[in-house]
Amino acid sequence: MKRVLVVDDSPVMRHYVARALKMTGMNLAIHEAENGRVAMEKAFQILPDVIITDLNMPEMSGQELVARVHAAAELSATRVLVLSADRSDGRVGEMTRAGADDYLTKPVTPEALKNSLMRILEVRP
Amino acid sequence: MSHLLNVPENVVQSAIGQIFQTMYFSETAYRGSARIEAAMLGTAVSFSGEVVGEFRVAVSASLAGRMAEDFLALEPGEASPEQMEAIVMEFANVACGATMSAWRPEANLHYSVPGPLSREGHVSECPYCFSVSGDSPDMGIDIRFE
Repeated sequence: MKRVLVVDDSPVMRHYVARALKMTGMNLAIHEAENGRVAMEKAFQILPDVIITDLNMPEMSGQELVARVHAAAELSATRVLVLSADRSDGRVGEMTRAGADDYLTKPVTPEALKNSLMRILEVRP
Repeated sequence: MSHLLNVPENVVQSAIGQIFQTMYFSETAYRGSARIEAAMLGTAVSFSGEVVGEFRVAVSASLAGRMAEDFLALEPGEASPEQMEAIVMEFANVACGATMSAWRPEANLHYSVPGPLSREGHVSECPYCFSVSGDSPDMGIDIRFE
């Protein structure tokens, strides 16, 4: 079972992503955090296979979260998928350079989430 | 704030239509500039960078309830006021990012966390209005630039 940590300050968006993840049919243990700071605390506890994070959050942004995960030796196996409403060309490139493994834009479909997860976790259909 | 800059109607129409199809499984009808008569929930997202301003969203209470039910898979009438407010805020977040990125894909804009509009800031007359639940406009967008 793969461990997924969903990070978004909006509880309704966390709910939606968790529901979309269940709809993928993949065998996932889903955890949630409301910002980057809480996500880092949980990440060190559960060592997630994937962190799915929003960018624009109070306390610690998704951008800082990506950088911290990338710098943490304990989380070297953790993949990061950015899920943001910001689809500007510059932001996508910026996050990829910062260490994000994939970048999806909201609104996201369960199919797009599944395809991204399978790709970054190297799961074969 | 001013309206000297204008986001083309087709950009707003396309972005909002796609969001409603994906997130709420609903079709939208574009009504252009109109007045929303029903009681509304209002929220705004500020943006800065190449252009600076505010993306305002007004949604009728009944549509907000339906959006919450669709998005959270709730039974009819089950959405709480807090859930309705949270749904409208998340919608504004996604709508702002999708619209502004479609309009200026090369611009690296920074967006605020969505916040509620004050009663004075509410927009009853909106330049970009949509009907989702019926024939009357029940959702409006206003994009104001500094």
